[in-house]
Amino acid sequence: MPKFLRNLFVFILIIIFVVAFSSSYASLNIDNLAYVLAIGIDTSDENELEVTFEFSTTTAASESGSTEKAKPVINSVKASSLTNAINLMNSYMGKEINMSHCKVIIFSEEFAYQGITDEIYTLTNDTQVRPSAKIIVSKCDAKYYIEQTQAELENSIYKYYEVLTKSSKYTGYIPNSTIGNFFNSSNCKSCQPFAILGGINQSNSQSDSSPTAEQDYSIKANESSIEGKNGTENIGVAVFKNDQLVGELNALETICFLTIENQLDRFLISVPDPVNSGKYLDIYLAPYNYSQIKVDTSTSSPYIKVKLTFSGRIASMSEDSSYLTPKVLDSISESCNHYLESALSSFLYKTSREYNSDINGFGLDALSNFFTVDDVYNYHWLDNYRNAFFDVDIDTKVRSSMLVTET
Amino acid sequence: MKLFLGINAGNCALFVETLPIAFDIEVKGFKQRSVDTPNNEIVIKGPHEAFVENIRTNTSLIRRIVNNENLIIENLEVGNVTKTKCAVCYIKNIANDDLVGEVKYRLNNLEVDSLLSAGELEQLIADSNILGIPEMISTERPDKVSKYLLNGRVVIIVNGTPYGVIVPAVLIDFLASPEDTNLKVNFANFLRGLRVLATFITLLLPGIYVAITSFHQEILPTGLLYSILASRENVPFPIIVEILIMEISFELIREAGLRVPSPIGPTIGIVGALVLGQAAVSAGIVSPILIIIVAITGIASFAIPDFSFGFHIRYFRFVFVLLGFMAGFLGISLGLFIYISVLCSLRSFGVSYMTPLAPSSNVDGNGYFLPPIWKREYRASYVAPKKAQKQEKFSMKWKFNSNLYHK
Amino acid sequence: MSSSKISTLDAIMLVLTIVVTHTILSLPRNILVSTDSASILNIIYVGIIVIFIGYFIYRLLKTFPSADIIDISEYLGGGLLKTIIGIIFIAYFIITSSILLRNFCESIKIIYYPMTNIIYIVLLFVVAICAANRLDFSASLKTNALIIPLVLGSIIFLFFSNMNQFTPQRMFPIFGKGLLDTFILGLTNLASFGGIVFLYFLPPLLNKPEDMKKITFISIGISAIYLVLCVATLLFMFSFFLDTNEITPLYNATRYIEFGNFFQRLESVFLLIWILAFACYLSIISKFSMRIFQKITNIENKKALIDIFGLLIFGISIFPKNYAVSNMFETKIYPNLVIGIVFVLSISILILANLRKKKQNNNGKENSNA
Repeated sequence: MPKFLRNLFVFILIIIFVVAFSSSYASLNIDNLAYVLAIGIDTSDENELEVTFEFSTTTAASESGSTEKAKPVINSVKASSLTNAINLMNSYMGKEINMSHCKVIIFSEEFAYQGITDEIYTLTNDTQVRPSAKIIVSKCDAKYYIEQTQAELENSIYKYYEVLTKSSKYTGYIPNSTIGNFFNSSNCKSCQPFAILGGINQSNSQSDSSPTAEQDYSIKANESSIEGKNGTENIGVAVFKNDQLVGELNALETICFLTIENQLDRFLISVPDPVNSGKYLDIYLAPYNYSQIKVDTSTSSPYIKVKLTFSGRIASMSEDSSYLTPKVLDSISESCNHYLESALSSFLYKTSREYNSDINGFGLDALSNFFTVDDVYNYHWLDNYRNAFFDVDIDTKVRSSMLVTET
Repeated sequence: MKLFLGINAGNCALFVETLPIAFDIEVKGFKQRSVDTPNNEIVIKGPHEAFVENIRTNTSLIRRIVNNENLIIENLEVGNVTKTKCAVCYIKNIANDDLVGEVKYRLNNLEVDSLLSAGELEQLIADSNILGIPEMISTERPDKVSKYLLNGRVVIIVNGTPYGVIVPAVLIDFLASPEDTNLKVNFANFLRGLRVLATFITLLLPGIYVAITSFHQEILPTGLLYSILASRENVPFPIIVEILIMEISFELIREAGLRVPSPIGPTIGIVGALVLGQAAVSAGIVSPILIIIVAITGIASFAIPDFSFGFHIRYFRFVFVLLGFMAGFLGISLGLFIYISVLCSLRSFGVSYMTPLAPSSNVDGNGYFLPPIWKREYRASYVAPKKAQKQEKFSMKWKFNSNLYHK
Repeated sequence: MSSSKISTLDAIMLVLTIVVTHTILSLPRNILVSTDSASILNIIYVGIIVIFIGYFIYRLLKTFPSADIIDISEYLGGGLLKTIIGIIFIAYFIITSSILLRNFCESIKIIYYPMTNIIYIVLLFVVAICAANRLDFSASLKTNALIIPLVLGSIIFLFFSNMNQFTPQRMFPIFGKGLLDTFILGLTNLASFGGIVFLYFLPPLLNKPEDMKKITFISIGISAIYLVLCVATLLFMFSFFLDTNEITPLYNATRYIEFGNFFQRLESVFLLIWILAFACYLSIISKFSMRIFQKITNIENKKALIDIFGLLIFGISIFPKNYAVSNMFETKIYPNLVIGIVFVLSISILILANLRKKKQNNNGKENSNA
């Protein structure tokens, strides 16, 4: 009989567990969830948030093997807080909203100026949101941004969101800002958070007839002349001070930012041609070494020394040019150095004087100058960054052009 | 009196005048199957000979391979009614005396009326029957038996069964095929690695699939998630029902394919696997992804060389499906914990079942993966052989004979 | 009898069990909070001290071959002291493991099973260890020896795969909160090495008692390296001034692992391994408690004890009202318990017993001389 009793006991235990976990099962089952791919957060009247959720239908593969494009589903709701908005949306969708596949979180510019700490904390507190979700600050309404975003090459919008920042490795126009890093650096006493700057592409009718090289590099999101089916573009950095948006960086400044961060594999710049004055040369530069940063904190105005080394190849080619003579190469290198030095200095002084936001995290490099945490605290790095002085040292070695060496 | 027994058994009695004793001479010749190719343990590189029902033929097969006077074949009788002949084979100067003694002790102390097969004997002399884990290998190949004999194991042959039982056996023996030593080490070890993978897939894959889809969808990459969602769009059942339907019908097909008369055998496979699977998918009863899971599990289960071990693993995958359904990864890992603990507590004739993993021993000759053939100098230490070394340190004398070199 | 002996490797893994389970929970964060950026320095410093303590313990235990702390206390103070020490250790084992179980289940609940009552998650663990405890004593230790390397591997993997997220500058300022906090107050981090409590129980269990020294050094060494890896991962990845308190900080770190778009959601695999390790830890702790209990009461029937100890763990772990209470125990009370029981109490017993033995030996010598 004890054998029978034991089996009965085991059976009852199994039943208990199945019942006990069934509620979690019901709420986590793959079939019962609606997967959010993007969240947009806007301000609306009366201190309310307008939260936009983007879902996607599944791409049903037909028998013949061809797939049709998945249609994005966009819904928005107004509520006093993010969690309330999710709650309201749950009741509307019929399925529970799950954010574990949320790829991007979009804040409107207007909202970001007011500060986004609460939302970031709420999202980080949520077990579902992944730290790799990207943060975009959009120049227009987040809702409009989501509506305009379309996957052109991909079947489903999530694939587009996944590859969104992939190009930054070689263009240097988009920083890779994730919610994990954002949360991390907004809590950091020696660095500041940043985000991707996004906007709507509207072909500028008022722009000059012939775009110059400077203009190419000073573009930001919302201002480029890209035309395409996908209505949005992401170029530039949104600079935050603590949790508030304080400014934007354009394409060239983003390149400067990313080179110091060692996040670029290669990038393209246009420098004045030392041989043919008035013309520009396009050069691919690749970082040669890691950036070397030295911070001197003996006075209350930190003195920051940045040393960068690049090796370059000439991309653009024109008639009657010879790029194999050492003298020409040297002068091109020199031209690169000048160009980058001035670009970097103006970028660095912009972050310090204008925005007073240490997005590059020089404060971390300064830590080794102190012995204890109290010393660091007493130095008030984030406030003193306003007074920082920079010394930029660029060492570029342009090696050659690519296939064609002489014309 | 003994003579009567002998004559009853078909022997001839020889009386010689002036001698006070009679000779009981075995002259009987029954109709018996001739030595055939093995049906169930097929190898490509290796002998194609299998045991038959007659014990004498079997022992002669072994003796022919081992070919040494130290091979001892002791005859015992088991069963009060049937008096089934059993032979305990071992190599006198290799096998551990205690082990041989223990085997003989267990065989001599069986109070049963009949013993009809090696399968029955296995269950009668096993240390414990917890979770139905096999604790000895049964094989129909004389070469495999000889290989184990030469490594210090003991083999029991039961009259009437074309199988030899090898004791003791540890976990890794069930994942080894007799072909392994005939291949180059690289390939043999690749196959061995594959079999470990197959074991894990068979045991855990369906359970993990259920756990992931029921509780942990966040572990899936978004693309895979959408594939699963798309494939499940029209399926009316919850995943647990779906997987149970398919796994049980897989077992049904397997069992039916085994039982039907051999000319129709392949038909069952075609009807079961192709027609049923295809129809189930196009009718929207089960999802294609699930068919893939079940098929991989099925194929992996047949990659396990030992029949009874494969059976055990196949059986326990249902337990893990249930655990995965009950409490997701928590259930699976706790189940795995108990399973590993049970494996660790098992002993086969005094040898710890999980050797050489736990208790770990990295003595030469114990490992699961084979060393190159010239490095196999030692016999496995966990069976405590009398003679540990089985070949010289320089086994390939022709290559490394220093005397020859210097001349 | 021979079946309950354990090999050297099993013994090393046994000592590691406790540190492993604690690091999964809030231990690395506690270290970070107490010593800030000097944590790595502090762990190395404390590790060296513990190695000396370990050597000291080894020397003290050597005088009593194949006797554990319970036997030694019997030698020192008779049956009464034996019972008291036994009960203290049982209480220490059971209470700490129950509270740890509770904390671990809280995190599992938050991460995986938001709708399930915590009682059932705890119950599932308890059922599992009750089932495993019916097997013989060495089974859990062997299982442990299989699983702990997996956990160590997972931490090494975690460290290296998160390397691209590291900011090594965060280990500065080198002295953290100051010399006093790092080297004097930081001594409370001795509690991280609570695993050496098993050293007191090892001598009668060992296959090769002569390996005791090796076990002591290797296990403490691995614990220290392991702790450094855990703390370094957290320190380099997250802002150390982080005032926020996150449950299971290492879990949080696993969420950052990504290799391309496809291989990036590996945290469940880590949790799976950690659950295995945790089950091992619980089963070992309860087996040791039962062993001590048997020793002080001479109860023969082990079967009945299994369920009683299981229920005890279950009862204590559902006792705290909420996570705040159990977390408070883990972060505030537990370190003091470790230092009190593992370091102060046990070592003083060993010292006293050694003195007594010496005295007896002297007396014996004098007697024999006389």
